[in-house]
Amino acid sequence: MSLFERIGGAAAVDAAVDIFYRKVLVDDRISHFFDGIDMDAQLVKQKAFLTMAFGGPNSYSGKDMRAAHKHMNLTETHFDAVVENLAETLTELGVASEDISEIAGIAASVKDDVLNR
Amino acid sequence: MPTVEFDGQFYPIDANETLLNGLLRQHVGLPHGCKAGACQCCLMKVTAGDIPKTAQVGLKESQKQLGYILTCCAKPESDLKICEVNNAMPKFEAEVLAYKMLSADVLGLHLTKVFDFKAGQYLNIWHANNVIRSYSIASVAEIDDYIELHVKIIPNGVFSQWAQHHLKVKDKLTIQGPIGHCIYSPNNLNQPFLLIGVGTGLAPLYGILRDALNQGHQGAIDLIVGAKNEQGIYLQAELLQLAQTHDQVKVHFVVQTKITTGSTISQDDLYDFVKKRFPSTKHYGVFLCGAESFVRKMKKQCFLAGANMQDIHSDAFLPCS
Repeated sequence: MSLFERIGGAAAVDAAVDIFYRKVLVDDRISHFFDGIDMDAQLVKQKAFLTMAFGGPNSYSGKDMRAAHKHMNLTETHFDAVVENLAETLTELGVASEDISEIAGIAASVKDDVLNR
Repeated sequence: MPTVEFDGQFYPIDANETLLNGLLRQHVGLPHGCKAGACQCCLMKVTAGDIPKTAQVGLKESQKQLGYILTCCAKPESDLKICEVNNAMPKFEAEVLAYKMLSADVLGLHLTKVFDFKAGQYLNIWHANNVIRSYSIASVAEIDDYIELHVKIIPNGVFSQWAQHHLKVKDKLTIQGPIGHCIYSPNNLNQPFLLIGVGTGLAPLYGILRDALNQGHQGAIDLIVGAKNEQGIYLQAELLQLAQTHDQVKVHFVVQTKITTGSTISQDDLYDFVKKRFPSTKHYGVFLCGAESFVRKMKKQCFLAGANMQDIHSDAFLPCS
């Protein structure tokens, strides 16, 4: 069974996205990036990001992640904040720690793209 | 082999081919992005035929109700007709059946029901010389024999000034619709609802409220109407009447400044009022209508207080020149 299937597929993304998005919006390290954006449009992107991080059908490429974040001058702190919120969300949902590690690994794989390095 | 009709042409779709790939293969430039059901760029609407299984993954109930699909996820099993979601809908001539000022600056209009609609949707009025204005529908197609609009009279409003001074009963308006998906969906009859509107944001909420009741919604429904001052509150009697005849309905009027001392209207900041009375919006269905700045701010507040994005429906009013 693939990681994506193991943690519950698209339903897992749906269960996680609101919790994750809420954490991001109240995290002072990164919340300002989301000021004034269209929340519905952003939710679609969050779902695509989570789908990718959960090992789901390929929705975001490294190139997409780079282009999307290029103009933001992001730092390690910003990136780490997102992964931290993701891990906390998954812990809250009772996802097994090995799976959380695997997911954090997938997220880490696009770090250079997100930070435009 | 199913056939898909789009823009007046017919396209056969191979078995096991997605609708998107089938049309792209035949050189139809459908918008698309991830081809994985995540980005929703390929959103289209089915106007005839059976909606294929898996074609609506991730869409809101309201969008599913309106027949929206993701073409990258759709594998048609039978013939379909599709169109763009906000495509050029036909225009109709609607006659003004009734004309009444609901408050000092809100004009209530009843137009002939020339098309079917779901409460909460809106329409475009095509006025002289390319002046197009959108207004939300306040009536309920299943209950009312007319399309009701609440037109805010704006000091330099091209359409509203004309309507206030020249429009009368029996005149015709060219209208196009219905548009939008801020509608009631009967998928969770016990869900508590929070309906919050500012100014004429009440119009779609008035329809959604009565639509919900008509469809047997059981959950508590709290309608909060906000305005700058008491003059901005309208339909108060009708709303209080609804609350009286339906135990599950509570209506709150909140204004920033108040002169009279009556108790049916509260003086408060709308956001504080909502926060105090609904500290947690977890499991709530939330409907927000009114100025864009209000919708954006209240959406964030209600989301952070626990409501899921899937359960927050909104219609943001944008100003026109």
